[in-house]
Amino acid sequence: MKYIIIALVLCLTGCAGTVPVTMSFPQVPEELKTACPDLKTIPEGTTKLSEVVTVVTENYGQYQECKIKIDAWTQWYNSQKKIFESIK
Amino acid sequence: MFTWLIEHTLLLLPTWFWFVIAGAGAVLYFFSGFIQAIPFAQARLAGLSVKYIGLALLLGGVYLTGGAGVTALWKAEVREMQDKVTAAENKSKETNTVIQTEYRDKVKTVKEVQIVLQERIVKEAEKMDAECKVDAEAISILNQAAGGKK
Repeated sequence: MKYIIIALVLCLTGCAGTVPVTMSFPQVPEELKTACPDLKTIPEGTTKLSEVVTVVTENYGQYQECKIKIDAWTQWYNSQKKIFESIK
Repeated sequence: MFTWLIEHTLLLLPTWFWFVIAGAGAVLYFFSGFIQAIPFAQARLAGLSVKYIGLALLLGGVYLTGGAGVTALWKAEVREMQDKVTAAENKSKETNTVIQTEYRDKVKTVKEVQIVLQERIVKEAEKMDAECKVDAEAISILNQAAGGKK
């Protein structure tokens, strides 16, 4: 009789199965997918300071844009990670 | 095949059905003793058969009752998880929109500043070029720095 009781308790566990629930990989804004361009160079042979300043200023601008992009990536990663961890 | 059979036949049956099966098994098992007590050789054999059939029904019924319970728990958990995933996906899209808007605004500001600076350079170019002549070596150094190569 005790074996029957043990068998009944074991049987109560039934047959369990796993149903996968998957979350689609979060999409990144399209603008962030483009690579940062190379810095511009000054035309060889120029002696004009204004041309140098023009190129240097453009490069500074390019750096600023790239910095914004990297900051956006960091923000995107941190926020998506937080969202992903919230569903565990 | 076995999983398909479980999912499409056994687990579709209501939980009470398995209770009934288990109950019937228990009743058969209980009454098998009375059948065996009848003083005939055939009755003893029949009683033994009923006992094992009852036992099999009892164990099977209890097993599938447990299975139905576990399935119900899993289904509830899956539903809850699915809701969480949907909410997370929506939140993810909203976050993307915020990041995209912030990015566009900041880049727009940088481009506006660039336009202002280029206008200033054009305006001051004559003065700058008159007062300073850039050496070719300086250009070479700046270009090498921009290229980041040895």
